[in-house]
Amino acid sequence: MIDDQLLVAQLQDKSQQHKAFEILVDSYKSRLYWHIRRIVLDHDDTDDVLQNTFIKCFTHIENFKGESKLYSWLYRIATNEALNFLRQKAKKLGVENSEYMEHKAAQLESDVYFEGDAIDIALQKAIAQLPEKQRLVFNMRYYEEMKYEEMAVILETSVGALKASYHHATTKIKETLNTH
Amino acid sequence: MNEIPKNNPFKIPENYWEDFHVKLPGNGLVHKDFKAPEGYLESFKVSLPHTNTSKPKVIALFNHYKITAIAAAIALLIAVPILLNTNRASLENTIAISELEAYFTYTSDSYSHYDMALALPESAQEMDVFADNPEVLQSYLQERVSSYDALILYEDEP
Repeated sequence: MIDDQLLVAQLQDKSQQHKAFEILVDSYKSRLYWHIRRIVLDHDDTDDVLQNTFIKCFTHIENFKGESKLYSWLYRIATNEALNFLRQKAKKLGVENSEYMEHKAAQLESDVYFEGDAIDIALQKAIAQLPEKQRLVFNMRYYEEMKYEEMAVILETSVGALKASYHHATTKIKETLNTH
Repeated sequence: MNEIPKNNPFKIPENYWEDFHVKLPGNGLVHKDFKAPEGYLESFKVSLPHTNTSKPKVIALFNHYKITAIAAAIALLIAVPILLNTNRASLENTIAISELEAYFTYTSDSYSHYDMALALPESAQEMDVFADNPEVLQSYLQERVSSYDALILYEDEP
């Protein structure tokens, strides 16, 4: 796998950037897809957000100064794109973000690209009820098994705050699952 | 070398090695619930927005300067004579006014208070005599103004 520093240098070089961009997409498409998918739940929406994420990376690569790792930068863009996507969708429908997420979670039962059982659906509905930050932290920790230190860089917050968010999220999910 | 040491007291759970797999960070995670369409990630391509590859239009600044220079020259050609004429006229006016002032000063100075006093009687009483007797005034003027008769004659001429 190509070194990230070299990849960034090639992306910032006009003569090599298209080739380098193909390498970037191949290297990160899967990880970013699943990260976005856990946030927006729907495959088609994920595809839109993933496209936008890579386009934004391409158009803003000049702004990447190498102060953080490339994947942290990509994850941050993907996270912001996914959250903005959800906010815009909710705004268009004239509903609150939480209400929109619960609606999306309820749609999983009929989603052809969701093969989870009743427990998985109940878990997704419980996650959908969480506040935005707790939902992100739970997904990144529980499903993506990301280290708190990495999450802290991506979400620009402290490890302590992330641990607290994860604790609150798991407590709420347990309560929700126990009541149903 | 044996893989399992002899007299090993430690045991492993049944089927541990069958289920053993290393989870690579990120890529290796298994998503049992969500699915992506078959072949989606393999064929995933990013449609970058169309970028204009044609060279940007270069606008020669010289042409603008040329037009501006011509316009400035025409403006100068029109403005300079007007400005010169205005200055000349104001200069002439200044001269005329100064000449008039000098003239008035000269004429007023040429007929001084002293001259005026000579033309008048020496006392106010004489003035009363003139008022009551026009003949006295006429004779007084005949004495003082030598050309009085000539003036009268001149006036009577047709």
